[in-house]
Amino acid sequence: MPRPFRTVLVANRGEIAMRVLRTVKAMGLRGAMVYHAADRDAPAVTAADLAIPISGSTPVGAYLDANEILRAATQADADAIHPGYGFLAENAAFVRRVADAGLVFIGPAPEAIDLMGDKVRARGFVERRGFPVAPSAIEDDDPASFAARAAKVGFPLLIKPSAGGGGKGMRIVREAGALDDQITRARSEGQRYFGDGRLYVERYVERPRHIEVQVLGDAHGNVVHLWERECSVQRRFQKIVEETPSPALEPAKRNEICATAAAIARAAAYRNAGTVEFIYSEDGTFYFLEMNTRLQVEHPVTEAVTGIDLVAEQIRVAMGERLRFCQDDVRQRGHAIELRIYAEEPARNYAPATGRILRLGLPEGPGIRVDSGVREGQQVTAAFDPMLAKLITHGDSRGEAIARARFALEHFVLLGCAINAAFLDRLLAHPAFARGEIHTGFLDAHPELAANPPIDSDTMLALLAAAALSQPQVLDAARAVPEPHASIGAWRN
Amino acid sequence: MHHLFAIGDDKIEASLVRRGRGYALLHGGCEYPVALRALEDGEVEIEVAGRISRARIARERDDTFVRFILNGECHAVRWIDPLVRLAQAGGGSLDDIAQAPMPGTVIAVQVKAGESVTRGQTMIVIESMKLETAIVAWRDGVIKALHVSPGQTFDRAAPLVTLEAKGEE
Repeated sequence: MPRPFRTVLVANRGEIAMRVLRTVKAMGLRGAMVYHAADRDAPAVTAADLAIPISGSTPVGAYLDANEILRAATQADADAIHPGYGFLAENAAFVRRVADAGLVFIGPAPEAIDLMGDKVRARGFVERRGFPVAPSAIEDDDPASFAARAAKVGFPLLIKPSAGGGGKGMRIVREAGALDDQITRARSEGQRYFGDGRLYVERYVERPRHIEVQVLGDAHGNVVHLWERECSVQRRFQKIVEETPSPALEPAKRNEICATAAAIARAAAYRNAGTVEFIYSEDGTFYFLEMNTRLQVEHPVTEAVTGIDLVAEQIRVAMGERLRFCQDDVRQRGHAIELRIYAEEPARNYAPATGRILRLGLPEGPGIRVDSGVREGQQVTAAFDPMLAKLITHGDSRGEAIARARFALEHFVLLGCAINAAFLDRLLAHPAFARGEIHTGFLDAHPELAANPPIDSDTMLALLAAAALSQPQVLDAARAVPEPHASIGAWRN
Repeated sequence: MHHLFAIGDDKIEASLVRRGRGYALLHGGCEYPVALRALEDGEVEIEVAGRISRARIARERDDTFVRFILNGECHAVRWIDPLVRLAQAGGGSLDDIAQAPMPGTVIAVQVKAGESVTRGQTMIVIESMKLETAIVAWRDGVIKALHVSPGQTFDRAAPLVTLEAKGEE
């Protein structure tokens, strides 16, 4: 029985809070927000119909605190909570508490999160149902023998927290000598990030492609896929460029991988939006990697090519409505690409950067979408994830989408904090990227992309002049020196 | 007066002097007439020896951020305060201080001020880029000061711990 919402609480921050809020309001619903004091200058606070402060021992802790979120939901008189991604989005205990409080969680059922959120359980389920899974995975059911069993899988190994996601705590181990130490650290990280120190290990496959499939299910047993996204360009196991369609897939293979994803979601009686991730090898074989039981960062490229607003569909499904389209209605039109704008310095091994955003100007133009969570004057700190915004471009062809992305990067203005825009442009301009020859180790294989190009002498002189004529102490020192010819100042108009 | 500027990892010396109605930049033994003109749309013109570049500029404290209109290239120039340089050259050797390699969060502090540590011992565990990193003692010594506490976030180059070599005072 459909149950319409009046107020939706967005339990997140940054660009995804703005993104969800936009659809909530476009659907004529009231949009409420939570925010920690560290985010008081964020645009979502003023964009919401109601913004409720939450607190915690750390800023991140506030957004992870189920009590704080539920208190805010009550205060906002919310009917439903949209978790965005990260934080509480894949926390089954939270989902149950939301239901116990008489509210609707805009996402999958807790049983689906229990099943798919645990990599070990998910892999077992998918394997038993006859879908392809990664070779050589073992589970941590006997901690005492784990290291020995991990070593038997063979090096290089990939260690992951069993409850993990987003690349947190993942480590490649290339030799037996480093294994024990890496297991200890990965356990500690898993415990801290996910409250679960159990690990999962598999043989690391070199040069794989990351291809994932968007799925959407309703509460009436209907499941469709919304085609694939390729997210092979990653640094530290985190995606930075995502696109659809994948340049690697021929139509037959595309249909096969997308149908497999939909079948896995159907087998799990999945409802709401989710993503089935696969590792795809050069020879065309693919295997199940994991299922993300949430809206993903890269969902806008799917929206661009299908014309479907995924957040709106999430909300409708959560209200109990049936999907309004069937599989044959979902078409890919053109090509879309997303670039993640990070506050980071690629030349320093992608270390995060901090600073105040002194100038911000977002690009506009045909086929350009910007999902941003920052505004001018806002401080970028180390307290949160360094992703500031996403640039999404759509074109008739991959070439046009890339050209529009480069145009958008050139017109993306952010001063006061280092960002990865110049690096992204070098990446898009790389001939191998243009040919679609990408894999998850692409950036390691092309380290020159991360390096800052040398500064030519004309540019350096212009920079020195700009800094010297802007810095008050430098101007004062120059003025303090007597000059026979009177000066009227640096700013000659 | 000589000034020191940092562009990326490069340190560059230059001076600014008055010349007639304007200024000149002295760098590498050459003198370049320079000017900075504000345009109406928030952009500026940077002129060096007659060569003009259009840019957007923002400034905070000792940092000048420049974005060239022509190609969208962005750069940050830091003016290095001579007082800070002097302080570092004098007492309190930088060799004694572990600085944050990148912004992050303190996970654990495993030593106390006054405690003796041996080379290789973990003093502080930090988390940056979703990975834990142990800050280990780079020599035998005594913890002179802890500059951070668990849960605290820090910026790049922030001092974390001061470790004095044994026998020093």
